[in-house]
Amino acid sequence: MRQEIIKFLLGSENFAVETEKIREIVIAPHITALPNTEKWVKGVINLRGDVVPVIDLRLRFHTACDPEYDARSVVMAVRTDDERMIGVIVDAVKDMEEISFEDLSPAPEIGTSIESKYIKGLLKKDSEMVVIMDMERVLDRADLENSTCQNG
Amino acid sequence: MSFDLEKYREMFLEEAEELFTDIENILLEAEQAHTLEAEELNALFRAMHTIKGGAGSVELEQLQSFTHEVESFLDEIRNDQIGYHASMADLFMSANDAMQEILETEVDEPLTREHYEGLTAPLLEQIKAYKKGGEAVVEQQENYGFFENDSQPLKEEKNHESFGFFDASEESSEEEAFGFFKQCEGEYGFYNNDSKPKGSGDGEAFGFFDDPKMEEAFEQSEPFGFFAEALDEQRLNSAEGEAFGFFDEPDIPEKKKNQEQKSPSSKGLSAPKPKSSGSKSKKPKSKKNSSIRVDLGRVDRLMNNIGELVISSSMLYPVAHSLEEQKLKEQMLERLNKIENDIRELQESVLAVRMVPMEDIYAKFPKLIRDVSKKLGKKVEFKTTGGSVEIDKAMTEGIIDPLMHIVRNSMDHGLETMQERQSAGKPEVGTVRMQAEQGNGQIIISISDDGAGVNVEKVTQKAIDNGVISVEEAEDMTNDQKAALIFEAGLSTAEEVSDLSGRGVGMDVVKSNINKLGGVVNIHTEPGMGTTINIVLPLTLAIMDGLNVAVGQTRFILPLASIVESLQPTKQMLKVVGDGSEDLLMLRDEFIPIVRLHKIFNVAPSHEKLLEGMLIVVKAGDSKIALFVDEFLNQQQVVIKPLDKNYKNIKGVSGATVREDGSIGLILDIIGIVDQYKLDKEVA
Repeated sequence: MRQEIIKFLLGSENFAVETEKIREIVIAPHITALPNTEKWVKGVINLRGDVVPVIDLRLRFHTACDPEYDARSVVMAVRTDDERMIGVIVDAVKDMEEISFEDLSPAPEIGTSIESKYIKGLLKKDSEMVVIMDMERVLDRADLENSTCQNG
Repeated sequence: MSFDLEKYREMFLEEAEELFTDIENILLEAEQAHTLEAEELNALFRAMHTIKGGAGSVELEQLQSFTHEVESFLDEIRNDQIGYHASMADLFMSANDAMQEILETEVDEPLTREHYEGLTAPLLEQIKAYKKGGEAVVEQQENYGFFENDSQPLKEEKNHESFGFFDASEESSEEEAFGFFKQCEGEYGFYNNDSKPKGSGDGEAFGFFDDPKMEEAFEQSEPFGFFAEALDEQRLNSAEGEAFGFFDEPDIPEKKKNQEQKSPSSKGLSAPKPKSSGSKSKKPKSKKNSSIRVDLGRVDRLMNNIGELVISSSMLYPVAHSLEEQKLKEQMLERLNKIENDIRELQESVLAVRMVPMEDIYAKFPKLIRDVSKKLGKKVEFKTTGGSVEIDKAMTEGIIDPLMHIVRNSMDHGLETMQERQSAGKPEVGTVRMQAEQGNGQIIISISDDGAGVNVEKVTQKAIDNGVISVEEAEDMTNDQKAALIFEAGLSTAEEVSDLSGRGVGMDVVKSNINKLGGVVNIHTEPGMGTTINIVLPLTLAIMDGLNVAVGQTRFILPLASIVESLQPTKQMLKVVGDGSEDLLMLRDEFIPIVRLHKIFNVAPSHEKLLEGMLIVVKAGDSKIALFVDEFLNQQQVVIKPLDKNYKNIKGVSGATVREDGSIGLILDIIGIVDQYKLDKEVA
């Protein structure tokens, strides 16, 4: 089955997610900080009247220690299967591509900056490698609630 | 397909719930009046018919088939093929309960044949018996807990009658009848000898035999007598054994003996009816006005759209102001004002859509009161006022359970038994009153009883024993504060957990559920006079008045309803205690702890010194704290958006809102902040 993916950068690594999960891409929205949350929870934004939390994937997956958030920062608004809307900050959004999920290689246990349970698979093309992120798992409700509680 | 079915089932569930309530209320009224008016009978029939039809269309076959039986029985009554008898109200009530249980179970999982039959067979038997027996000449027995002195004397007499009857009747039919008793016995051990053939097939009645406390009360209540007589009468009238379906049970002779010996315990029926226990509110039964069912999510979306509209229109103001030509500018501004007013009205209209009258909530209670008073053997009158006060639909779901728990608790622990009431010189019928009023952006629901009041000493002692409070703290507490300890976790003072109040939730859950809705609960109790529990809720979960306060660069929204007063402190007002870690505000005669908002939320303030900022005294329940902020800004009405919709709840924040300029404001959770403060203090 062919599916369209949208590629983005975290640090120097290429990642991608299914395009159907992304509702829109917002450039540098105003973020209201949320108190008493994990460092990687940047805050909330107003997305068409909805209050949407924003997660900095660069901090979440440690691709940067103190990433900048400026006028060129990009927030991808993700619509999860359970109908939540969550924004994720990435370093840059690249192009889209149609791929076949059968062509993916399984996620390696090591070699990428994120845990394999958050990866759907790897796409190898020429010398380039793209990590297909499992956005549902990254933004899993229980996952978000628990991880924040620990530090909260 | 299956997806669609789910959707329709959901709609059906909602509709059915309302219909069940309607049915209950018609029946409760019929039970009181001992008759069923043609109009009500028709309403009952229509409700059953709608449920049957709905059940069929969403593929709930078992519900459909049982409802069909009940409906066709009703139809026969309606067509005068069978005369309505007052005792039928109880049967229909049980049938209604069974339908609800079938529905609940069938929706979740396949309902097993056994379960279904267990629920319906006794009822179908009764229906069959009525059909066969024609007009069973049974006296209506609507009263629940009534007492020896009412019914006992008549017992004996009646028994003779039944004996006579049994002796006279032919062997075979007796056997059949006893067979039926056996059936009952098989399921509910202890009562094998009580003649409870028909009718109380309803599991509810049986259910409480388990409760030893209840046993006595029940034994004295006449359902026994009633059923016994119903049986007898039917037999006399029809003398047809087949009236009772399931016989063929072994050891009939023995059974029979038992029956005869034990019959004395089934009481006389023609007992003069005690005064009706009036457990119903004066509420018109099913009111049918034309309405549509709308998903709350759609209303929320509408609210969002309006929010967007507000923002878009506010963006036009700078444009208007920038116009050079004065005349055009004025015209433009004038029209913008008009639009703004229209939008505000639109917002109010949409909000009104979310509101439902308290009556809808009250309607859930007569049935509960009836069942509980039946179980407890207490006569209870339920009174309501303020039925037209409106409450946010989103809140009704969350408030019904706590209310039911409080009412159950009042009846179980608050109201005394009838003997106790008599010896205390109180009317033997206890009163539970529920009232609602609205004001100041809040809705206040109070539940009061005229019972014995909370045993404050016992509660306090238990709280001290369990380490909830210290002896010193207890000394400083008012009577009502002590009574409010019943809302703390692990403080059930019931000597034994009864199956009513001990349903796994305690009053602490009641409190936390109410807090979740942004409400607070308090209690007032007077020994011997009764107890009143007040629940103060925000009028709506969707909108509230808030005050913007600034802490450094951040602006928070403080619910206006929680603000007592705000002030700029002077040196004389500020006191430091102990090591200086805690500041107190001395306000008139009160000492109020000061909580620095910037510390709770970890933001950099513009002012560290208390004298440079502002203090806002807020209250949650009985506790007051003074919040230290940099300054306060404007007041505004905000549309509340829960954070856990997309993310999760955050300590100290009850929700967020989108301001008119498009920025997001976090709404402070005063109850949470006060609780957190208390917690921190304990740890320190």
